[in-house]
Amino acid sequence: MQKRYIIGIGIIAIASIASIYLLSEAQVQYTTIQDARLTGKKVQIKGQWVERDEAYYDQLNNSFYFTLADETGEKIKVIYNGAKPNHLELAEAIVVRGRVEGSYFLATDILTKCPSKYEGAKPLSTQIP
Amino acid sequence: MIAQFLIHLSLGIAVAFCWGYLTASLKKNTNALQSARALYYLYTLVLLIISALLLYALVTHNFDYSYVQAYSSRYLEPPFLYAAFYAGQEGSFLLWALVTSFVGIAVIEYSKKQGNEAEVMSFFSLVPLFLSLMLVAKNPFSFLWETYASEGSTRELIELIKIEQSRYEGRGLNPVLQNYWIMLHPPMLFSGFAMISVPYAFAMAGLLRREYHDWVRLTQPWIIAASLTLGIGITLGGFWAYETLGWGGFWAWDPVENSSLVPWLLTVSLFHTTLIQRRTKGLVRTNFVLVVAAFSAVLYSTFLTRSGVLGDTSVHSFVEPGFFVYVLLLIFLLGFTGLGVGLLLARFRDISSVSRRIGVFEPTSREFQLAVGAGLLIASAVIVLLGTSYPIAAELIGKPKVAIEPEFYNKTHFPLIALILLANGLSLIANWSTTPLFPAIRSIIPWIGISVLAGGAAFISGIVPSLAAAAVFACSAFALSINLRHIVRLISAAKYRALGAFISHAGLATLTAGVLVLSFTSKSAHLQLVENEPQRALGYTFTLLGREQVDLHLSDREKFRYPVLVESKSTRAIAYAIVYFSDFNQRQAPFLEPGIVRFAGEDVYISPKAIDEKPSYPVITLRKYIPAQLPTDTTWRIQLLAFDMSKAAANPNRSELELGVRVRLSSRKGETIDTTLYAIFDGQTFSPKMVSISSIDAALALLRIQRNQTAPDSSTATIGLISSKLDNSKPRNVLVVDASIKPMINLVWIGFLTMLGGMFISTVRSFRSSISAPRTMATTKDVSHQSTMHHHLTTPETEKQA
Repeated sequence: MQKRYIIGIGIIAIASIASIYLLSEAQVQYTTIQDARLTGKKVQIKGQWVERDEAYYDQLNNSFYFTLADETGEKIKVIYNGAKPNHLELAEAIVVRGRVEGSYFLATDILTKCPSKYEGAKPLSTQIP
Repeated sequence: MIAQFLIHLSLGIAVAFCWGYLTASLKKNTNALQSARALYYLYTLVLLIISALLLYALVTHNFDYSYVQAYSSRYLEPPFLYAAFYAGQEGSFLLWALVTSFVGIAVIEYSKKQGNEAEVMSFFSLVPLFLSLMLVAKNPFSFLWETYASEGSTRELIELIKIEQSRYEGRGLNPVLQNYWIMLHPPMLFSGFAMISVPYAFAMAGLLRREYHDWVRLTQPWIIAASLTLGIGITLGGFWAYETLGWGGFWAWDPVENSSLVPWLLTVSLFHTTLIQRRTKGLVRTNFVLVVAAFSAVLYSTFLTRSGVLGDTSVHSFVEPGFFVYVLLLIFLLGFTGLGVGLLLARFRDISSVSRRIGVFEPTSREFQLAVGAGLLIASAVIVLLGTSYPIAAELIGKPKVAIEPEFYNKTHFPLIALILLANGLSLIANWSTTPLFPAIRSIIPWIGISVLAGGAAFISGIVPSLAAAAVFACSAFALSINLRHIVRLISAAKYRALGAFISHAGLATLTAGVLVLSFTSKSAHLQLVENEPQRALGYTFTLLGREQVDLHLSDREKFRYPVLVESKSTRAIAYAIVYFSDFNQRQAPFLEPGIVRFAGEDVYISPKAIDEKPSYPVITLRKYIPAQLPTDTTWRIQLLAFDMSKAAANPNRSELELGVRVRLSSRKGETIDTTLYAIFDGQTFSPKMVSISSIDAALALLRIQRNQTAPDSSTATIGLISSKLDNSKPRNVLVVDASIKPMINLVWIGFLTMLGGMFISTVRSFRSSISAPRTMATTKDVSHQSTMHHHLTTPETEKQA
């Protein structure tokens, strides 16, 4: 009986240590552009899409180039390996995931935060002149 | 008004029958029991009326109700109009309550026969009570002037708007949801959630009555039925994501997906551990813990998806529901968990004094292998729970915000699934209580041989890239072959009812093999498909055939399908990628749906990324100072001299900017023409002003400027050459896609279907045997009782040995 518990606790302990280690490996922090530049680690940055008329999509290389301003206001050029995400114009904020390389932020994912993702646009009552 | 009243009434009734059942169970009062039962039926009736009223409001487009206004519109057609019922939080709580009330009726009828209705329903009633309270808080019948009162909406204003029919309109259902999967996926999930509350109620009643074994027998059918229903719901969600949402896969480890997976994993593991308890009378407390955990996981899942805490990390999450709902959800989560844990602790010593395990739980026994399998499922649930909750936990303790990469789940589940399949195979070879070691080893050798061969073949043929992956593949071959062997034997012995477990495990093994093959051999390519220009990629030739507008009768959308011809040496088929603009977002950004061609061996998956048109006239892209030949007349060259932002700079506040480029045309003969081309840019598109130049017999148009502020010299201008000689026919369509091939995706679907099919057989069988077993017999014969499926799992080998 006792032995069973010791083995059980042992397995649970090993499993939790392993998963906590893997979790710390798999976590990607939300941070600022400055921090991302310093560490060079894979991070997430929440910010705004700015200088929108300069953004463009290079169809041959399948890369979308745009400028992101983080919450401190700092800007960085982002190269996203893919087409311009759908609904980017509508996003009230965007989150890019990737790392800084040179003067660019190479994004592997872009999350768009749409206020209207699951809700339609305006409530009827605010359409009143 | 009447609907609002009925919702409050339902809460009142719920309080009343909770009280009634509690009195009945504590004082053994039959009158209280009968009235509680009557009240419960009344409650279900009231919920049915409420639901009918909501449906009626949707069908009649009564936009006075903010819920109807928020999730439907006049353009919404059946069946999606009906599905708008549960498109938002309020309605989905109503659906959950309705399904729960139906399940409750079944529980009443079921427990009446077992003589523990009062106790079981005392606990079960708390669930409808909770849901009714939730409905009062999140009322689907609140009026616009109530919901938006803070924004200055009044009843009079709405009445004014109503006169003008065109403005009295709903926001519509998100087009992403307008798919037939919405008819099945949410109701299935809620049915699964509702069913998981049944074992919880029976377990709590068991603890109360100090009957620690009977609840297991009674609720096994419910446990497997809940696993089945929730499993169907999850699978439908995965298929929806793959087929319509264009996520490219069927599972993304999204927090909301995860939070429905955790209750499923716990319920499935509970089913296995209850099998052990029925056989050995062991794992009594484990099962109580698990049943509480499974039900708590449902509530936790609801909390995660409804409270808005996941807002930043999920594609599913709903909008913030408000502080009150947040607290209410938390109270219920803690309440139901606390009740379960508390009752278990109160009976903890009593359980150990009463219950006596049969057998010694030898590592070679079937129960041991089953326990290992269940333990691995629990480990999976814990890992998924950890990963999903980690970002929230990190935020709570003030650490910086983080996200967990899907890689975490893939890495951890790689060994887990292999071990689960191994345990499954071994459990079928082992006997209950003890297995003679040497005959077992002898009988296992051929299966090991088969799996090593399968793993080796997969590795050598390059289907799986690593030895580790080959090992997982071998494990699934191991489980699959053993299960298939049993299936064949049972079919030849005409014991069809016992097939369930083997079929579902064969399904799991197939699913694992399919996922392995898919994840290692799937290839993708980025393609820019120009109309009628074939392109080779991934072993196929892709040709965009054009563009056709569909759903013309619906004026709230502009929907196009892009037929893409997919050809290889042996096959040809057309995939229809869908791109549409909807009033839902004022047609600002397109909604995209993938086109899929299903061949027997693989799917060709075409996910649209961008649409464009290619002019039929020549286009030149110029960088500053670098001259380019005119494609129409090679004796002329064109050079970009400068960008002219003066007009734009003069009116900086205008939303439309007039941008220009100065260009120089020079011929070999020495002629030079300087001109400035302008275009109006409205933030989205360039509208060029054409400049005709007679010497080159063409007009120039500025189509696009690509500024690069960090390196101004690399800025480019794109200029169109519209010649009078050329055939200026319609522009050609361009579809930018991510094309991918998904080898053996059908193996994944077959795996899912087989697994669920097996569970269905087990559910039917489990209900039949459980209903037919009279209670008095069951308590005395609990150990030798022959009604559950796993008792029939005794394999031909083990029978021989026994």
